[in-house]
Amino acid sequence: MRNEPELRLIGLSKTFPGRKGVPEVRALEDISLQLHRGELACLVGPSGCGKTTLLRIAAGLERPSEGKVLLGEEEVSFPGGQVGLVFQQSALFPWRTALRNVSFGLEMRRGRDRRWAEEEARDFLYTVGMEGFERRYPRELSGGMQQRVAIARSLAVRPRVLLLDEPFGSLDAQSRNSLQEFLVELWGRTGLTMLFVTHNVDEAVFLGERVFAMTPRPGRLHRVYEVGLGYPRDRTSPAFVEIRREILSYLSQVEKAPGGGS
Amino acid sequence: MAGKPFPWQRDELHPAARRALSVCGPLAFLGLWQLFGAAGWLGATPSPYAVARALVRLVTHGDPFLKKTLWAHAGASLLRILCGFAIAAAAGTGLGMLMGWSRVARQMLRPVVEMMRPIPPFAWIVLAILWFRMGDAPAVFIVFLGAFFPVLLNVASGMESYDRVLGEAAATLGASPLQVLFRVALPAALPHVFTGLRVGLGVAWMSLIAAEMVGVGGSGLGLLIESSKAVWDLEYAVAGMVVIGTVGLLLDLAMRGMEAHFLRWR
Repeated sequence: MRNEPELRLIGLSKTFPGRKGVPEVRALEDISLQLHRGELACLVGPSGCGKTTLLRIAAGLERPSEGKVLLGEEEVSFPGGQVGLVFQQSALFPWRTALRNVSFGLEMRRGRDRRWAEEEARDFLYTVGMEGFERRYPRELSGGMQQRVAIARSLAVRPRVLLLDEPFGSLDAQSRNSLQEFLVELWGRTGLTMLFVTHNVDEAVFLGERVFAMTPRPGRLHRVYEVGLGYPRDRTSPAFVEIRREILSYLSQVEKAPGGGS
Repeated sequence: MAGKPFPWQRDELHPAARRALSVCGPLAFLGLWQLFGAAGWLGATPSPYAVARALVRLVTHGDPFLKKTLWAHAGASLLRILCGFAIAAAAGTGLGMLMGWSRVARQMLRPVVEMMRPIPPFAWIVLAILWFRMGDAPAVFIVFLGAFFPVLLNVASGMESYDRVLGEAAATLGASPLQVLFRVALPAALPHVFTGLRVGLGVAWMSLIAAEMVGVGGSGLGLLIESSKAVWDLEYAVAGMVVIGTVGLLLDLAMRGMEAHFLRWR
């Protein structure tokens, strides 16, 4: 059960074609990784290393130049509810209330009416602790609340895998920490397979059972760290600090190495 | 409290003061008009009092030339603007969505639209009469032309400029391309849609009055002004202008009300 692969990225490369005066960009170079069912994994790397491109390919929003994405045994080549994606900026629909943002995906299903969708959505809004905010519009919510709603919106269509693209990147340190704790707790309750992308090593070590390290130009997957600490984690514990130091020094090393970065 | 030092920091006026001021302005205008008229500075321009009297006679006896009441004229104009505007809103939104969504449609339609847009709706009057003959139809057509292009171009630009991330988010939630178009792109473009509707309604109203002034439709507020000129009853012409301004204002207020309701999420 637990060690079955749920999402497999196989030999993914991506080249963005150049234009006049702009050379083509090799964004990803032969990236392979597997997510086990029910795993919470993190992908860490500096800005511009192709993390977002990788997630967009995994979600079916972009096609790889080479390689493929398998969900179970099926290939993912277009978006559609099976692989959820939480964006860096919440990407909530500003004209819909919190509740109706969450019910959006359910309303899109054939033969499902709005009332049913809203009843379902209510449960998911409660799951992320947003009880009482059903009728608020996104602009009336703080950044952290918006991300909670965005997570609930993704959960509501019951995806098999949830991808998160630096979802807490624009939040202040306080809300960032509390949302990290919330995510660990949510994962514990739902057992959902998640891939969390961040440039923040501290965040990656706090969340991930495994941490994948990526480096830029072209984006390559270098190493996998098994964090091996129980939850909830203590950021100040020696083991935590040690693994954090290890990843940081590794990333700065490949950054500086010739050919490994800028 | 002392006033704030910089103009951009000034507090909002008190609501009562705001109301009072927005009544004072028009009253002062009417006062000056009456005064200057009494002083003989405005030539044959009718006084506000004469205009008010004409308004009352328009309601009770109708205009001096066609003997149609104010309600008949205003009703005819309103019917035309509502019909023409409804058609233009529907067609402009539909075609605008197509132009905003499909690059092929955009490339093909843009040159045609850009060439036709600068033609004043009133310039179509000859063709309108040729095609639609008599009655309300040519006037409705002129209204349609006035509203259609502003709606079309604003909808198209709204569809082009909406935040693509929203469409992608919808797709990852299982929305089909058609659902993304109607349930995401269209509501996201709604602020642009309303801009187009409001501009279009204003242009359409002015175009309609111009068309009525050359006799299209055989009634309407435009014809009221024109026919008053024929019998040299200037107070009726000015009364007609006052009604045109008032109805135009009410139409815009109705549009703003709808906008405030549908864009309350902003």
